[in-house]
Amino acid sequence: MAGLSYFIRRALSSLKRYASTSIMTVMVLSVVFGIFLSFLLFASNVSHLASNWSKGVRIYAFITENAHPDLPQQLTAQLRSRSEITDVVYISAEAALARFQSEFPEETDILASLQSNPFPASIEATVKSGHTDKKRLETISGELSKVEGVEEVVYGKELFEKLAVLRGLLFWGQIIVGFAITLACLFLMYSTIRYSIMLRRNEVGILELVGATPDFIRKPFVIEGIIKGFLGAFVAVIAVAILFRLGASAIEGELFSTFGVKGLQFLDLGTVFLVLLSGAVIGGAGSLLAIIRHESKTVEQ
Amino acid sequence: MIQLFHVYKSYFHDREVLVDLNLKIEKGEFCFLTGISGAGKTTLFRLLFCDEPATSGQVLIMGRNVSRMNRQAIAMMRRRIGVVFQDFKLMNDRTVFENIAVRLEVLGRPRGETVERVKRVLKDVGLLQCANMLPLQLSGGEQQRIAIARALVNEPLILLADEPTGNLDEETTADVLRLFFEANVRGTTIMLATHDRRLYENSGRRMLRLERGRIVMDSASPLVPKSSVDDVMRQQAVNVRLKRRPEDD
Repeated sequence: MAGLSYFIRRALSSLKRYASTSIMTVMVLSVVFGIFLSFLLFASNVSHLASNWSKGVRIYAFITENAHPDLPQQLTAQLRSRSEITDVVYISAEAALARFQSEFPEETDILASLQSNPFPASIEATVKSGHTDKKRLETISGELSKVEGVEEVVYGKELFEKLAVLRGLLFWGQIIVGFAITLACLFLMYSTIRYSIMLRRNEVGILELVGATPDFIRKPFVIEGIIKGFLGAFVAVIAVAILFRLGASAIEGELFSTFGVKGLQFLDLGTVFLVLLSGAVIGGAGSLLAIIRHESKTVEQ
Repeated sequence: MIQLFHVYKSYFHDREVLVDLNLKIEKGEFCFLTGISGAGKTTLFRLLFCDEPATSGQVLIMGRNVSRMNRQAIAMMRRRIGVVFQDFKLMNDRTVFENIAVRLEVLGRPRGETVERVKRVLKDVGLLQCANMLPLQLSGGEQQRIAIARALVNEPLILLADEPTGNLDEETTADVLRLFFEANVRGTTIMLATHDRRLYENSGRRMLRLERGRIVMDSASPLVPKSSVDDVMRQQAVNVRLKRRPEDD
């Protein structure tokens, strides 16, 4: 039985022989993979943005004016005992006023018109990254709200709910788009290999004539599909990487000023490897389906 | 080597191409198959080559019932059968060498052996100098010789040739026949379909005549040919039998 190198040689020689069809297939596949990669890139950067926002989550417990003087100490101790809290700071009403004045100097006129300090004292607790899920934040916030002398607890609930929805959308979006792209690539590969078989039906017929087994006929087509799928994914990775480098530098400044996020990220090596592998697997599978379909049609005839 | 029992072949249930065919061809036999166009010669070959199944009846090749074979088994059987078609069935984008080598590549023969055997068979058919040319650069007769070389390169047990000399001049026809006779001497069972009376007349070989899908004459059969056969053909069949060489029996 001929070895793998023989089939690889045959697949390469047929890629060369039908160069224009092969290039067309690789280009079409690269466009489809390019769409998928762009979506992955968008999703991973939005996810990165969301996790950046989640990193510095702080819970503020505002204390009423007539609260017991020991309450700040009690709250600080209570929060420090929790494993998910990294830092607890007491901010007195005066410190809060000073912070406002330093952060928003242009608004100090409004404060001047007021008779007293409008800012309440508060406890600021920083939550460890990785523990910033909605349920946990609600638990801490609920416990703090029940403490006598605590007026209000704030942790950016709305923002977190929106982030959770966005993350969910991205997760399902990746699955749906990934599934759709897989089907599209399979169909494309199936169609182009079917076309390729049609072009070479004489060759396939002659191979059957001289006693080639179904495996002998299939292998070069499957290898050809693997090569085309891999090349399609590879071209897409290179093209998207180039476009990303060109585009990222242009929008990074804008992103930093709007969202406070620095440095857009390209896909990690593991993901790139997975995309290339998927290209090869989808290419091979599409080809195998096409050749099996051709065989079953031949038998029917 | 080849046995047919009450074989029928029809298309679309209305046109019977082969009708109640019974036939036995022994190992090492050389048999001519004749008949007008549409008599069923090519269909019979397609059945023998497992390209199509019989509508009913049994076809046994090398003792195996072909109707019970799967694709893998059919492929294995085809490796031992050489076929030459009237339309050559060559890969026009491959060189002459590659067209012949493919038969040995399918068998997984080492490259060195493939090169040696292809060169030898190309020399036998007089096309060694054309090894690196494409089939379409050659004449019809030369293309036919490529097909013959491909069929013979692995010394098959059976060789089925459908009008192999239809496109050849007299001289090349004689050369091609010589190749078939030589293969036969080496033990290959040969079945050759032809219109050309000159090939089988006085050849001393068995001759089968097909008419409307029926075997109407078998020079090896003791049965009197059926009435549909004209007297001339009957007489020729008798002549052929009388002239058979002792080593053919």
